[in-house]
Amino acid sequence: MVLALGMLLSLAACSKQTDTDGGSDGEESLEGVTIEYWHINSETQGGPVVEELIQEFNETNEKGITVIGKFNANAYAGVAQNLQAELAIGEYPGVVQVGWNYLNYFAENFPQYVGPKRIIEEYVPEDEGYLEEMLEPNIIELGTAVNGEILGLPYAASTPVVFYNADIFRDAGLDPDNPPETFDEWLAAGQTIKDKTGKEGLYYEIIANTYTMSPMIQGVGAEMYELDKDGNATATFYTPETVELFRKWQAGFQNGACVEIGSEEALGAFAAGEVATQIVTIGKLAYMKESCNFDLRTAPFPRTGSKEDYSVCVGGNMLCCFAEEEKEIQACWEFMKFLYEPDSMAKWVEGTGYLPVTKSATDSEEMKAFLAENELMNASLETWTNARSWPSWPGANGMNVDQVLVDMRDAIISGADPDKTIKETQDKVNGML
Amino acid sequence: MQDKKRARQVSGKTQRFWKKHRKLEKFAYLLPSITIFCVFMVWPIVYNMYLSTMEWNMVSPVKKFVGFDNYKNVFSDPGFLKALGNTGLYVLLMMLFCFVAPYFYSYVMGKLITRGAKVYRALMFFPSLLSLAVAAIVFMWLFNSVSGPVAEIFELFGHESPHWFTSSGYVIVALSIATGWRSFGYNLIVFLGAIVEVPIELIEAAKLEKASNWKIFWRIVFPLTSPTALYVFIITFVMGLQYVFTPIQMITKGGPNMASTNLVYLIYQYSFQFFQTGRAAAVAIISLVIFLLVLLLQNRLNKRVHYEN
Repeated sequence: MVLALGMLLSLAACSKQTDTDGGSDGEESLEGVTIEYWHINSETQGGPVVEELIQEFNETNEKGITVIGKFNANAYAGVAQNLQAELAIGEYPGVVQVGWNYLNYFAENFPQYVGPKRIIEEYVPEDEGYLEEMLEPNIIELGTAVNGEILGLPYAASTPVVFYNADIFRDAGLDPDNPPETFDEWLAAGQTIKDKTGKEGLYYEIIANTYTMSPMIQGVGAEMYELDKDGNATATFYTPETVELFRKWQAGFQNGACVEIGSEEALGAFAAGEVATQIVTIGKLAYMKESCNFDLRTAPFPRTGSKEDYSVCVGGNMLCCFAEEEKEIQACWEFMKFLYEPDSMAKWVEGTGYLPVTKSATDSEEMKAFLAENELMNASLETWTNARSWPSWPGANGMNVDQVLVDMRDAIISGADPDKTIKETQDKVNGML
Repeated sequence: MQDKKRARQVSGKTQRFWKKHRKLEKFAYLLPSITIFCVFMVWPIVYNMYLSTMEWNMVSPVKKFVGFDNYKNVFSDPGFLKALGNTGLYVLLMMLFCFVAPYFYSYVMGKLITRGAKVYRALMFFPSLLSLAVAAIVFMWLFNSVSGPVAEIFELFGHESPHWFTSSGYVIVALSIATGWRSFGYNLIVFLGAIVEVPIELIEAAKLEKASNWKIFWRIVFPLTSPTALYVFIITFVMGLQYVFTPIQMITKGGPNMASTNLVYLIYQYSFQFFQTGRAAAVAIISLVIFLLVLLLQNRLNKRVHYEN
């Protein structure tokens, strides 16, 4: 640890020195510029592939940029705290991973970021059109905050899917090759499984965030909130369709089509063959494959409403640039572009289980081979064009709203009247906004 | 020779100095602990009080003074009252699992059984070697209401297992059992230490008088072990407030619908999840006041406790 710190310090010292030397060399060279890459990828969550990519970049980039990886404990909350401390003493790290649900929090509290649009306009005009070339419009939308600015480059992405146990499907007389599509069909399947096999049918992840709940609500055509001209948000999820949706869901719990257990419990029970489905992030794929000894399949996230409104929530993060000097900003951009190259993206996808976000990623041979081997990922890839950002609530109480919605869901599941509960929750949220 | 003489002179001088300033000497001895106490206890509390009057999101460079607004908000939040009530329940259950139960078992092991006491002691102390996180995971498996062993037992009797971690009421019991299982052993050993100290002659004499085991416990063992009992009572109280944090964080995150949250978890949520530092600080101060009340209670009880020396 001490050794690593010492190396880091000496590296930083070197970089400072060469930085000033390089200043007179002309504008093209970024020789000696050192930036940090703040990530949340621990040893078991893609840490090795992050290190591999950094090393490859340091060895191969022609401009002489050095990137130092820095792991942030406690995920994105940890990133926010560390970044605050760093910026307070006037230091800028470089490239930082920012979680989707922190989008507005960062846009409001860290005005020091340099968004990709601004980088291109002010520092690398030759890359004009890069964003549009690399990303689908709905993916660019993911990184766009309430203030209309793009905060960073979408990087890590996962969507929820249905994992299901084909053996239980067969036992219940259902056809595992044609899994249900809509919410109603899934509820019916859950009921059949419960009635015919005695095993638990449908499990939506009951977790302390809105990752699987938001797309259900958005799927019936309701918006979580709307913005007026001045950028003030008003919660709008209380609609007859939402009430109906929750009524059906509640009935599912009461009739036994859905099971009410915690997410970790459910994973264990699913692996043990006691629960037939799991509606969770595709990021659990590696774990599922390792722990399930049955015919494991995946299907796209259930559609709660019309095909037009169908959406899935994206979890993961984007790459934000926090740099001050022009050369550092350019160096960050070079590194971000490197991470977007098809080969780097393929390594990232393989090492983490996230989806490829760029258009060009699927061109790489490595990626093609990987996807061919991992058919189960298709259920998630299919819904990629329906991907929408995870609703990130603006304002000082923004982070609290998610919890209020989680409490609303739990109250309804345990029997509270949906109409009254959703209305009260919406009023409460509006009071908070 | 001269060096020695000088050394004697110097030490004589210092001795005279300290004799003159007796009060200063006491203070000098206390200085290291006072410093540590101030830096790690007093200062954080004072700063916390300051924060509780501010609106701040932990990252913004600006803190806004809001007076007592945070306190008002906290008291008008039904979530806070729920957390307060749950905290009381946790403390109650922990008293049962980690105060009453080990007291009883230590009496049985120390005075009533003659064979295998060492084996039981080792077995019962074993969970204390594990971390709370491990205990939480173990009980998450045991209490898995679909595929866990407890569910299987319920099934044997033709009942469906309750959903331990997703139904209010059960969830506090389940989390307290996990915490209690992990912390029971330590308290047991502490009690056992006190109970073996109780003179065997007293108990023998009582037995000759045909006193029941219950009477022996109540009239002899309890009074003689009351100092230890008071200590364990206080730490169990603290457990009810603090130890349950780990299982809450690992298993339920305070849910369902705040049914398993407690004051400490609420502070954590406000500060590190919602980034409402002022409110978190306000809840922390309120909790501190509750702790103070308990300390007063301890002082009261202290007068009734029988200390041997």
